[in-house]
Amino acid sequence: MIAFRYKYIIAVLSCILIFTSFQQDYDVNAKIKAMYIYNFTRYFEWPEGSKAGTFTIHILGASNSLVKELNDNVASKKTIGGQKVEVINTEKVDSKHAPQVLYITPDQYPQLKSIASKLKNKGVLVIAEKDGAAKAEAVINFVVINNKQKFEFNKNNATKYGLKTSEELKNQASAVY
Amino acid sequence: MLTLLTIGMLCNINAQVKKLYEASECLQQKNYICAKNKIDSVVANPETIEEPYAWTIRAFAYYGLFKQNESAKYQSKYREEAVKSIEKSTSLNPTEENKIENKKIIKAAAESYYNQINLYLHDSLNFNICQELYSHYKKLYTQIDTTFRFKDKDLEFYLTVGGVFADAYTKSEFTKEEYGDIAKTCFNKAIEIDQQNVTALFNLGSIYYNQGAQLIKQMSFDTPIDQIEQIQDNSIKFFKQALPYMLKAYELNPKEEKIVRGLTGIYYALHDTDKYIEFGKKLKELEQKK
Repeated sequence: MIAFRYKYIIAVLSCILIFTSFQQDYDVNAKIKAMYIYNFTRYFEWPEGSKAGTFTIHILGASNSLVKELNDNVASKKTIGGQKVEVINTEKVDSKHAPQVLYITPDQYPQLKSIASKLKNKGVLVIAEKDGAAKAEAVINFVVINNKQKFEFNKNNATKYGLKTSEELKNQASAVY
Repeated sequence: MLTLLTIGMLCNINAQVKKLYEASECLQQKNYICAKNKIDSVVANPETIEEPYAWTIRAFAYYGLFKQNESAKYQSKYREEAVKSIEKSTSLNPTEENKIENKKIIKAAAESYYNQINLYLHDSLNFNICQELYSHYKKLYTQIDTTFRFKDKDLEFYLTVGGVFADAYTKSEFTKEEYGDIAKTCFNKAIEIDQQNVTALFNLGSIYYNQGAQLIKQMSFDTPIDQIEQIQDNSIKFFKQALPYMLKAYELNPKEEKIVRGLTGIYYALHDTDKYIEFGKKLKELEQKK
């Protein structure tokens, strides 16, 4: 019998035993907050004096991802009430040039007590992220319920800062004061 | 009359033996078309149709044609004929020497199926064909070694295929959901085989996390406020699915930075501040030790 030869070299599957990329560089929570902040502006009416010029969203405190989201998706792409949008990020509020939206990071929350009275009737949507903030000086307070980003709403505070509100927002809030 | 018939039969047998020998010579010269033509007529002849060695020669001829012409084809008629010829040869009670030759072809065919997986995986990302090829490989390999345990090979297959699809999912910037789903299927299979496989556990956790993150990432800023909550519900489901896999990977390898980073990210996405801080500290410690 003739013996035939066959070369059989089994290739090792070119294993990719690497760890899959993890999208952690992308801040999911900042995106949610940015979307809420942009959405809130649809539910409020600002006093006439705030309807001219630029619509300012002021982020008080360090929150780079939130600033980036707002800059990339709102300031550069949208208008609010026909106004151009700018996002500023500082650690102090100039009450003489009050923004239309003021988001205060948890770290900077103590500042709110001292500036709240100066913002009265200035047409500022004050958004905080601190337990009890909606019962105190904030109009909107971000809260987490069952792992989810939600918000509380204080209509009286909105009126105090000179804003008119839509009833609809109440239905979306996790708590209304 | 009988004498004439007997002489006729002997002449016929001699003619077939001659053709068989010629087919073997063609094979030696790697002239597989020549071998095929001669051996096909030998196995079609009633006098030699039951000759196991003729079927073995036929298998070599067809396998040679497969190698020469269809080595990239996953459904090669030549390879299929080669395998069928060996099955026929085996059924005809071949000699021990013949059995050894038969095994050579079966082994070569089995491994050709396995080697083609690389091709269909990297070139065309075709999961179904890869599964089909692997199934052929296993079926044939079982014929040459009935005791072979496929556990390690299965694990290699699922980790590799899962890895390639996870990589493709990443390269699509997490937009090709179907790639992520195939990767999940593969890593789940790998975990069924080896519950302590850190790579599969981490990768599965990462894919679930990435799918949740992608739902948020692709949300339009024009999404109404009530839908933001619905989308969060869906993404949280993915983050929660990711958590047990990442925790198990951490339990098995607490010093792996990527796993700790993964857990930190999952807890952050779930707004679990205490755990996020705890794992954030662990991550910092690991980074400082580098």
